[in-house]
Amino acid sequence: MNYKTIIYEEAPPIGIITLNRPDKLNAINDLMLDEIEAALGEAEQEDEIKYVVLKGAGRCFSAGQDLCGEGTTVVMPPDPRLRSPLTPIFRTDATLMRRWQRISGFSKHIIAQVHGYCLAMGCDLMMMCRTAIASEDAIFGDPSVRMGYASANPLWTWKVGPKRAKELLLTGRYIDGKEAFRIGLVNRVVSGESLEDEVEDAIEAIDLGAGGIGGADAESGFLTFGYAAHNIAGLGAAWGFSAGLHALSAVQRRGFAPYEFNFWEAKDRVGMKDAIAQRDAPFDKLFPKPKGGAR
Amino acid sequence: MKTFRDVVKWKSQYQKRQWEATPYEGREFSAALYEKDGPIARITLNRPEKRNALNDAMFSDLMAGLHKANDDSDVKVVIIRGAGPNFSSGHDLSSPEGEESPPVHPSLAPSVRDFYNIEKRRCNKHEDIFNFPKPTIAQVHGYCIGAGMEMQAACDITIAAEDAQFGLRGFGIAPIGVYGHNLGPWPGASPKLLGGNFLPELSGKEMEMAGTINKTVSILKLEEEVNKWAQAIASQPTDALAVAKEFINGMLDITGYGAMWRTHYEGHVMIQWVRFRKDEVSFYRSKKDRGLKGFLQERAMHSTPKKEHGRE
Repeated sequence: MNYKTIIYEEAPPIGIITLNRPDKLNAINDLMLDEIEAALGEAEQEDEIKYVVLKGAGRCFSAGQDLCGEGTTVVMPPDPRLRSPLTPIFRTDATLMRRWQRISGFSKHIIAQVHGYCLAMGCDLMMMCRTAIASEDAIFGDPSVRMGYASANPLWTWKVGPKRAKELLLTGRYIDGKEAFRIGLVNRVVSGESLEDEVEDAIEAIDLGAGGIGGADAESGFLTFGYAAHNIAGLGAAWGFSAGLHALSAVQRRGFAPYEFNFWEAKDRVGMKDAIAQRDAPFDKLFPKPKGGAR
Repeated sequence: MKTFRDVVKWKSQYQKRQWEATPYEGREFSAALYEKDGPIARITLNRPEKRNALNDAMFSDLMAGLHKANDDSDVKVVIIRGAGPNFSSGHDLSSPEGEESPPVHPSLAPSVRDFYNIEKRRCNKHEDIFNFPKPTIAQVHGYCIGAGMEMQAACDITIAAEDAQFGLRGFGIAPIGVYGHNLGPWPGASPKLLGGNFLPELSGKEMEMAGTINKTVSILKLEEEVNKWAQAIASQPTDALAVAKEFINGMLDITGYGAMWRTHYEGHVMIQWVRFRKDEVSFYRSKKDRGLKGFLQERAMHSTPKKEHGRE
């Protein structure tokens, strides 16, 4: 199939999905989520494909959802100034959560190969993958709160626990690959040069393990029942709660006190790049951004 | 013989958030102090001569301080900290009978219903801190024991001195409460570290490694570090903070936090039926025969030698 925002290749037993908007730091828009889902559909149909690697083209994995406001109905709550009716909002939020569930509950093992920025929705996408291997120059975080809304990804508390989730989501702090590994956000952190090799090695190791206990079927069963166990333990309800929160952040007045920095106003006034720089400046002084990101 | 109803004067039915039920207007804060510094409110546990042991007066001032911080729209983040060399040494076991802090003596024979209500009040103060609408930071140094440990666990973020001394020193009970959930099934935490090492003390550094607190620094830099975090939170849009905290807490409720608070006070209720063997240290017997100091000495002799992280 022809994709516009991703590349899908097959090198059995691996299917490779490459986020491919390098000039936009692989910002995620609606089409990209559509195409990831379609590519997963292709991978699912092909018996020879047992693993999927998800990575980013160019300088990073993904810097997050596209904030430009075009083609982003699902990934970005609409501007509250538009006073959208509720029905389409609920519909798009349900769509977003369904997409996340499709990835996180996928029947084949998905490995995120992370280099450079892995922020906001890019970080969400990474967390939906069963396994994540990151390079040391990777930068993780979700600065949504700095723009007036909350992350609606239920996996934060599951992956890193209450204290870390609050630390990262209440400050929007960025962390490097090493710290992400230490707090359990990624499974392994390796040097940038060896990232691709390490991912291949990891898949080989998983494959050997899976082969030993009954092949891809056992692996697939493990993923399915493991996911069911998480859903029983509360993740199933969490998706609904997250959809509700995402809808709420669309309709709530994105409240800013007069003395608070209003990202959306700044974006209209000075453009995206400067607005992001202004948004992060006070925090970079308190918590210097780790080295890495997009080089 | 005195009964439970004779000594307990406060209303035993738990109703609303306890900070909400504690007035602050015209209050002279003393057992805990309240101060405001722009968007940051600081509540300081202030009984340094008692190592900030929590009694009813201190809880009352703490709750009133939270109430005040909630009502003040300038305040965006609350820091809870201790005056003197320690954060808090836990419930004040020397409080007079009838206060909420010490364990109820079995001879008072409260009904199970009364006992549920006491323990609900006692334990749910921490739940009320956990659910406080504005972000909270615990600034921990020196001893952080028992209920003090519970309190920092209920705060959103904990920054501690490297040599702070965390721990539970029971009087015949299992460790129960939030820290269990903070460790529990989370892949990032290492339950093994605390699993084998719970009742003795853990240093701030060890707590950080286990993932139950956010960060440790040298005690000389503690205040500066905490202010940095408070500043980072205070720079966020107020509404976004409220939604973010509500979302995370909601998610934690879905994964069992709500039920965890219940098991906490139910566990406390079960303390009533702990039976001490002859060779074991009974808090009630020991305190009656030798006084509180005598009990502490006897317990120290029976427990694992403690590590010296905290300051006396």
